[in-house]
Amino acid sequence: MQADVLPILIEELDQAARDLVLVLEDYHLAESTPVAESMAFFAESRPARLQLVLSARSDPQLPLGRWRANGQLAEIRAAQLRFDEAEVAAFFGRDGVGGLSRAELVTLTARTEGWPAVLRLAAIILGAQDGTRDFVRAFAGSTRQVADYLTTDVLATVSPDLRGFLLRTSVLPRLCGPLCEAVTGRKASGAILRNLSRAGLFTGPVGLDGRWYRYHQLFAEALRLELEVTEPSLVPELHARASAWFEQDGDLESATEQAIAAWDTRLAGRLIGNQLQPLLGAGHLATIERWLAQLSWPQALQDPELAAARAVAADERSRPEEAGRWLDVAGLGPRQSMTATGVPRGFGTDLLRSFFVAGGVRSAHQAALRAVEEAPVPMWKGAALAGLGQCSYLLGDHDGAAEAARGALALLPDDPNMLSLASGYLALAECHRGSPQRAERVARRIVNLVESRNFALSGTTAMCYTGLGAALTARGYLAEADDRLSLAVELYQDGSPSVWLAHALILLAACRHAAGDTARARQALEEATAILDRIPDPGILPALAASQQGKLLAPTRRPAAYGQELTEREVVVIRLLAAGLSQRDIAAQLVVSPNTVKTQVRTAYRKLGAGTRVQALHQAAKLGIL
Amino acid sequence: MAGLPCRIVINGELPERYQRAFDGLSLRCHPGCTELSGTLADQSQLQSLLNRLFDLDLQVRSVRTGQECARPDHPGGPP
Repeated sequence: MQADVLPILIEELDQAARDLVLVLEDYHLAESTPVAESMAFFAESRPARLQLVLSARSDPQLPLGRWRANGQLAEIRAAQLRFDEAEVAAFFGRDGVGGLSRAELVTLTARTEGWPAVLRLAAIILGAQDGTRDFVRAFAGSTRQVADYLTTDVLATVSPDLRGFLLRTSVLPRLCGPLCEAVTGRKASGAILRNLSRAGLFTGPVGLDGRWYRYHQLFAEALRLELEVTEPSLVPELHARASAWFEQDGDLESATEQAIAAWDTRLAGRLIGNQLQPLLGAGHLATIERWLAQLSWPQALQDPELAAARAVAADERSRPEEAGRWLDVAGLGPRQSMTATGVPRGFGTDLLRSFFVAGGVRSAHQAALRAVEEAPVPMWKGAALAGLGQCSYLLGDHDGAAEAARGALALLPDDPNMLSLASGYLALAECHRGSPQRAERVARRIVNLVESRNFALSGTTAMCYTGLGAALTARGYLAEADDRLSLAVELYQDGSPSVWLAHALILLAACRHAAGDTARARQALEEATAILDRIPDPGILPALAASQQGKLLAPTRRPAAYGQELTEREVVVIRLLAAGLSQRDIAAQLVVSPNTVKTQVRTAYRKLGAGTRVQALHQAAKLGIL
Repeated sequence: MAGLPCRIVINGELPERYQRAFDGLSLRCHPGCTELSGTLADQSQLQSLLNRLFDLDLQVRSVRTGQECARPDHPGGPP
């Protein structure tokens, strides 16, 4: 946010060339540490003509002390917001409540501490009855907590019908006519809400379109408590009705929240199962995790549907062991029973096992084979083939991997995650089979797709970068290869050490070695080996690492035909020539001038006793340099 | 696990139905204030309890935890 989005925003605001005020109301609701950091940055870098106004119920996590000391901050706190007697009198006067004596005003102000929300309650009660004096006296004499006292009194003034309506709708985060009707069974709920709002009875509009309302927090809390005391068994039922209405209205997120509040495990499982892919694609993993954290009662922890969601969330965070454990829970129950996403449970679990490489490569490979067998429709077969491609590659079966991945690409729908997986491994397999050009084409297509759609980058999408990086290394485009592989490493590093991270590191080591950067190549390889040591059954990766290790340790200087050794740099250049790069390309890759490369090439030819490129490469191959 | 004994005093007397509002704590009214006492799991729970009190616009007068809670009450007045 800070690095990319805010500078653009600040720049555009600056160009507005007029005074602007940015108001953030109820800021405390949005605040978290990352938000606070971005906000502090924005506040301090904003254009001078932009004034920032925040309203919040609690002090925000911003450098208030510093701003205060520098005279940059104007604060309006509780002391100034409180009404004094004159303001209380004016407030009541506006509501048509008059005839209060000075003493009564003083009492009311003191007792309510000048707090507008509570005064409004008092105004309603005063407006509704004749015995002002009695009310004020009783109110003054009571030691009951103020807000609760007045809320109770207000509730006493409404009809039992309306009271029932208020109690039942208090469980909702926001209200509109049709929703309230669905929850309470009361027709014309919209009119009720409008009247409540007009009467100032704690109901205020939300947003500008006049559809939604909300109860003032104090009021809603009191109502909710009252409901829990009088009709506790009704509460889950009300939430369930709300969930159904939100779902029908298309608001799946609110439907999920209501389902959780209703303690309905199955409903929550179905809703979350259906939202996993869309939310993950939009980068909203945190929402899924928040819901799963709330679903913490015993039945919810054993629910297979939710377990599958938990496995996916764990995998997104690159926590493969945890993902594997949840998959075991998800697999409980008959293989043929259907999950929320409409696939047989056995198939669904095996599919995920093949994606997460849960329990080691061999076990995941078995799961992948089963999944391909049992896939219910072509689209799912495509997904299963992507998983098989991964597992086959990791077992060292490059031909099998290529075949499976190609099959996957033919059947897969437009899903960047799965496409990334399939094309990443296809690219890797093609590199092993000696077709780096084809590999690059395959991988780049998906990389472009992912980037053009602004798809959320995660461990799952990183595979296409790994594949592209390998292809580019083989083709000699080392600078871009390093970039792509480093990005993949970064994405995988967010989570715990995994086969994918190790793999990307091995490829990065190969890329750096090809560029002659032996020290950093060794570093990457050491990291990879350390990870692989801790993973049970990582397939062929240790062998790949060992082979790369061998290349690093081998002497880079080789005797030339006429007894003069090629330098390390010259070997690098010859290798890049062999890969098909022009001298200009090589200069770009190694970040040196074309003249330097020209000299190195000439010297290398001389040492190899060659007159042309073909001769030089031939000699180099004979000597085992390539 | 010992848990965290705690005693919180808020302004104003809260009625009976608030007994259910605070998990694991019992309410007792004194003139002009209410005392919530009991054993919480840990500091995390204390934090979220304080947030809830804030959300309910209840004003906290004092918070005591651990051994301090063992101090005897003064009858008829806030501790």
